Amino acid sequence: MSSILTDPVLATDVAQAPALVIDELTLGFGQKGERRALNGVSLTVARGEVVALVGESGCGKSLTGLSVMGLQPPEARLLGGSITVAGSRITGASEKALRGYRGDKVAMVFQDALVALNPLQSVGRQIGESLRIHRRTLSRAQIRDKVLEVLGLLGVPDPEARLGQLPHELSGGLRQRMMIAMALVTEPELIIADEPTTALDVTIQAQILETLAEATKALGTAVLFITHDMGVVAEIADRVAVMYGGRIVETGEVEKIFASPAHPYTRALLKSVPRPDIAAGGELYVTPGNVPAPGEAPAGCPFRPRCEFATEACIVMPPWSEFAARRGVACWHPTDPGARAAAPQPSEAEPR
Amino acid sequence: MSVPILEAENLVKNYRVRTSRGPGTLTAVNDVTLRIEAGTSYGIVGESGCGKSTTAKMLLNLESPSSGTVRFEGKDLSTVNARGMREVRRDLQVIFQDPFASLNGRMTIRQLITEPLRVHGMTSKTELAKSAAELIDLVGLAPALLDRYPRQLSGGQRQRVAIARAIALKPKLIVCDEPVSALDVSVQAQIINLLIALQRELGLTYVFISHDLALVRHLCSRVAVMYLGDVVEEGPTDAVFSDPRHPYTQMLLSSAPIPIPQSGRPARLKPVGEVPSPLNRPEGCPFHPRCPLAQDICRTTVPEMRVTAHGNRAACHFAEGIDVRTGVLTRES
Repeated sequence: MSSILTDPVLATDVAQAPALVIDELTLGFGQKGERRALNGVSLTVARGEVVALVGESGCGKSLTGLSVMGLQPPEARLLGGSITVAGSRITGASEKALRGYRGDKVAMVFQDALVALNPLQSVGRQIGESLRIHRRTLSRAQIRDKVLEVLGLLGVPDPEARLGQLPHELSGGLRQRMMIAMALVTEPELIIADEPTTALDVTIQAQILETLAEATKALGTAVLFITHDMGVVAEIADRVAVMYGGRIVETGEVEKIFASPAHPYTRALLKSVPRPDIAAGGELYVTPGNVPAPGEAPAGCPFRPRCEFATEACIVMPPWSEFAARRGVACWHPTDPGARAAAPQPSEAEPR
Repeated sequence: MSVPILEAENLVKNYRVRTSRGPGTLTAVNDVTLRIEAGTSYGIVGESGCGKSTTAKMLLNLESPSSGTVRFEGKDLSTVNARGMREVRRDLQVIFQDPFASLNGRMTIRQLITEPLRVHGMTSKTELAKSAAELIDLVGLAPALLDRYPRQLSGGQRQRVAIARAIALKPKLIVCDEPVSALDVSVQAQIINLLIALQRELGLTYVFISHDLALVRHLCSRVAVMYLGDVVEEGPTDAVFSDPRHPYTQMLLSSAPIPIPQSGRPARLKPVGEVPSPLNRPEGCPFHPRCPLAQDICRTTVPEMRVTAHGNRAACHFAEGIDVRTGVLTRES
C-alpha cells in the first residue's frame, strides 16, 4: 500500500479524519478504460490545510478535483482506488449520498463565475441555496443572516445591497467572491478551487487570493487549490502536489519544493517561468517536446520522453519515496540531494 | 536623436455607445504618447480595460484614432492611402493572442505561411516552396507539418505558424498582443526563446502587449504602464520595475504572484476597490478613487508626467516622494 496511508496525520477517528484522502485513484476513458487519465493518484489534505495541485493542461488536475465532488464525466471508468472526504467515502457512493455531501461537506469554486452562476437568480438567493438544502432547520431570516455573515467574511462592501443583484450586474472580482460565498456558507470541511483567479486581473487576483486565504483560515476549511501558476502556488499554498501525465510526481511544503525541487519536471517548471531573480533577456530553460494528451501518457514514468535525466530504468514507474517529513517524490533520479539519498534502486521496481 | 521607428502622439480613442442611461462616450484611450526605437522591445502592460489592445490596433492602423497621430518610420499613417498601407504592412506585422482563432482552419500550414508572400506579389511556385521551407525551419517546426491543417497542431505549434506568417515578409516591427498567454508554461518558454532568437537574427523591433509583468521584464528594454486609457508610468524596464514611481505601478508589481514563497516578500500596497468604468472617467488623476495615498490635489488636477531619478516618468503629483515599502508620502514633487 502507498506510504501516504501511514502518514501520522491520519487517524481512525472519523471526527479527526483528514479533509481529503485520495488513495491510488485510477480513472480511464475508452471501451475498457484503457486511456488512463488518472493513474494511481494519491493525495491527503489535512483539516484546514491549503494544498495546491499544480500542473499543465492535460495532467489530470481538474479531473481530480471533479472526482472529489463525484462530478467526473460519466464516461470515466473507476479502475481502482478511492476518495474519502472527512471520513465519508465518495467513490462508489450513490448519487443521493453525493448530493448530500456536495455543498455541505465539500464545495467547489470554478474559474468563470459568469458561467457558473445562474444568470436569472439574484446572488443572495444563490448563496442561500446550499443552506436551504442542507440546513433545513434554519428560518428565512436566519439564512439571510448567514448569507450576510459570509459576505462580510469575504470583504464584500455593502453586502445588503448586493443580495438582490444579478451576476451580470457585478464586476468580475465581486462575482468571484459570490461564488466563494456559495461554497463557504455551509462551512464545508473542504473546498475545491479550480483555477478561481485565472480569468481575473492581477490586482483583483491578489485581493481574491488574500480574501480566500483569510476566510478559509477563519472557518478552518481545507482547500484543494488547482492551478497551473507557480506564482499563485507560492502565494497561497501550505503544501503543493505536482501532477504530470495523470500522476502525482512530487509533494511537499511550498518553501522546500521551491528551494529544492526533487522531481525533474518540477525543476523544469520552476526554471521556465521568468522570475525577478533570474537575469532578464536570456534564454529561458526549455523542456523539449510537449505535455502528453490526457490518457496518452507513456508507460512507466510519464515524464521520461522529455526528461534530461532519464535512463532505461525509467520505462518502469518509480515507486513513491517519502524521503523527508511531508515530502515525497516518484523518481529514479531525483534532483534533490535528500531525495537522491533515499531514492529506490531500479532493481527494486515492479512493473506497473 | 534618431527618428523612432514607431511613434504615437497624444492618441485618443473614443467610442460612442448607448447605455441604459442614454448615449455616452467610452474613452478607451485617453492620451497616449509613445516612442519606440528600432531594434528594441517595447512593452505595454496593464489590466483589462486599460486600453492597451486598442492602442495596439491604432499603432497597426487597424483602427483610426479619434485624435492624435501614429507615425511609422516618420510617415503619418492617417495620410497613407490603401495602396500605401499595403507597402507599410510589409514592415509592420502582428501576432495575436489566440492561436486557435487567428489561423484559418481551412488552409494548410503551407498556404497560411505563404499567404503574405502571395498577397504581396510572389507568384513563382519554386520561390514560394523555398520560402515555405525556410520559414518553417526558422520557427523550429518540422517540414512535414506544411501539409497539415491547424486543427492537427498543438497551441504552441500554431503560434509558431502565426510567427512564421508575421516574419514572412521580413518586417521591421512586430506588434505581439499577448502572444503566449493562451499557452502552457513550458510551451511559453519555447515561444519566448524563439521570439528572442528571431529578433537577433532578423533585427526586429517588438511592441509587446501583455498583462504578464514577469514576461515583459524578461523581454523588454522599455515599458509603458497603462491605466484607464492613460500611460501612468514609462521608462527603462529596469527602472520601472525596480523603482516604480507611480502608486498603480507599485501595486501592479506587488500584486503579481511570483514563484517565490511568502517569506521572501516585501509588504504590499493594495489598491482599493474595483476599476471604474471607462464610461465614467474620474476627474483629476484617473487612479485617485483607488489610490490609498490620494490627496486633495489628486481629485482635482490631472498630474503631468514627471521625470524621476532613474529615468522613468510617472504621472503622479508625488512621483518623487513615495516610499515604495511603506507607501508614505515624504514630499510633493
